[in-house]
Amino acid sequence: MLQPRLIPVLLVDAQQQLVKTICFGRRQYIGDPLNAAYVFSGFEADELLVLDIDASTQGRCIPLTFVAALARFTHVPLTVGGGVISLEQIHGLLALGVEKVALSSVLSRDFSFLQQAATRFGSSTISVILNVHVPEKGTPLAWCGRPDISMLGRPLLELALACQEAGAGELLIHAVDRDGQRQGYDVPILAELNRQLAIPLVALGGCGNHGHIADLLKASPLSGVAAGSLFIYAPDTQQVLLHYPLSHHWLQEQLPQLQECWI
Amino acid sequence: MSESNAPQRDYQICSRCVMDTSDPWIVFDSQGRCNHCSDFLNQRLAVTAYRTPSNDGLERLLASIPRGRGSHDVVVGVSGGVDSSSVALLAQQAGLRVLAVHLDNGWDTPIALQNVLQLAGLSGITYEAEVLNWKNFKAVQRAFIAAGVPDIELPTDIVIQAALHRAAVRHGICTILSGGNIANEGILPVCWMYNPRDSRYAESILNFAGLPQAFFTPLKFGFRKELRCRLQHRIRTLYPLNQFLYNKDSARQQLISAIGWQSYGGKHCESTYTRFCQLIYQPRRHGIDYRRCHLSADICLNLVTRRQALAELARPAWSDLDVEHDVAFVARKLDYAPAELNAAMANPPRWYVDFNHRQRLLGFAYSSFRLLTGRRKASNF
Repeated sequence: MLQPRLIPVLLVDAQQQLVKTICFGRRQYIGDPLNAAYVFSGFEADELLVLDIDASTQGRCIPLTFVAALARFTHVPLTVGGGVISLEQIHGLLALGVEKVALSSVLSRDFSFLQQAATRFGSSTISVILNVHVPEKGTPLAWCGRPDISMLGRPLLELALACQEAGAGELLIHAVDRDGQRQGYDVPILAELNRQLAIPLVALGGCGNHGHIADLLKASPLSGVAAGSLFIYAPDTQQVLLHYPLSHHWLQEQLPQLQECWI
Repeated sequence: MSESNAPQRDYQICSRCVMDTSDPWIVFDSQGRCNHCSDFLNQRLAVTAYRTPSNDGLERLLASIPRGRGSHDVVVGVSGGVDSSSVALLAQQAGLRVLAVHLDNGWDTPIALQNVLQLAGLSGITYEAEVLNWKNFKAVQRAFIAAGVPDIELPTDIVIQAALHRAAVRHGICTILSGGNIANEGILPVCWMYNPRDSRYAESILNFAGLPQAFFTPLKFGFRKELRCRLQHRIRTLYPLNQFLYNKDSARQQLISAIGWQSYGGKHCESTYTRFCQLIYQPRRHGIDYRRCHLSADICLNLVTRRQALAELARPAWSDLDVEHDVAFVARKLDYAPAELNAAMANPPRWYVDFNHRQRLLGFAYSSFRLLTGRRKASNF
């Protein structure tokens, strides 16, 4: 029986500070990412997603020394990403004990890299992050990496199917407009995408409370739900307090009801 | 600076409690009893209500608290440990509107945060967090290790006071409830944990490590600031856990039944750094066994016998701890190679006397303050 993964997302900046962004813009300082990873590992999170959000703009890969520390002092499945552009880098990250490597901006320049990576390391180790913007009218648009006008031309479904075709192991659908808003996931778009795709989907962007997760999962059995604010702030506040078990228990309780929705 | 100015002494242990010459300044009387247990029994217990027959001290203390001007009556610092959690719960149960302030110094453990979350969810408790800039704080913690003093947790103790008073001023609250208590902390040698209010000491340690004073500015909470908080903002700190015979085990039970509180092994292990400090760093570098303090207080309170305490001390403090893993984690967080941190712990110890400080001046200032307000001395400073 499917049990959606609950995935805390840790965003790390160029100074290796843990930050929380709002709509990719303003950043709030959250603390030391290594201790946060250690805490979520202690909470036995289903998985942990760590992204270096300044790496690709600075033309470098997420630092291996930092990832080595993450891998050493956590014992939950780790997905890392940020500025990964070569097969050697993926190899280096996997060798440190990382479970999956997330690709994004590199694919905007060289989409064939996805197929090379999936062929060499196996689809199960390659995750693709698609940034999504929903215009007022028309179909949702997606791109890889930083917002770029020339990239905005691609319909989400088309790009997602191309990623699946090229061998992506899972897709992380990141709703840029909803980042840090805590107003809920974009349920119709995610549900429709999940119906069309065979590979696992993870939703990210907009989660503020458990109700938002329930709304999404009732509509569609996504493989995973990722969130920053939900696990970083004390419930219904802007005050930092890392937590996880509360949400995990909640989801366990909801599962029987959700499973009825999925039949 | 090479040799420490600490006195070299032959080993001696108190005949009544288990404090010994691991406090190089310990004083024994003609019957071999030390200054710590004598002071505890003669001075400190007097400010508690442990031996008063009526048990309404706590009730009266909490009832005497004025209502805050804003939407809170009291500030309580919450670490996720037993003492602070108990105080927050007692205040909440007494109907006070509690502002629970958590300081994130980069060393929180999952269990501590889970406990804070349980407290934060209670009605009548508002949660607020202060997150220290980790890069800045790391540099300060490294400075204390470089200096070689045992009180490497002093920066945290200083900034907690700063954060609580800042929160009180910001919200117009006049009362800080502290989890500090004589029952557990009534014995603690000055040289194991020197005065957090003595800014000159902290500044001199930063100097020694070649760190600009700007690193200390966000943490600083010295005597002058405290005086301003007391006189201008009328903020006072109360110690509810001294108002009844506070017992950690029963407090733990209360918390478990009230909020599903989770226990962690050992005292103060709500922070990885405190655990490192007390179980690894201080024993290795200074020959300090922190358990001596708690066990000696327990002996004075007739909770354990001296024989039992000695048997306890004969067991290693870190038996259920993966020491190498902890050292590796602390080293990585503080940007040391593990061998570097191990080497630092093998270096000769230094003590507060080896650095500039204002012990005499501050002692005089606090004594004068106590004289004026009619309070009794119940602490080291």
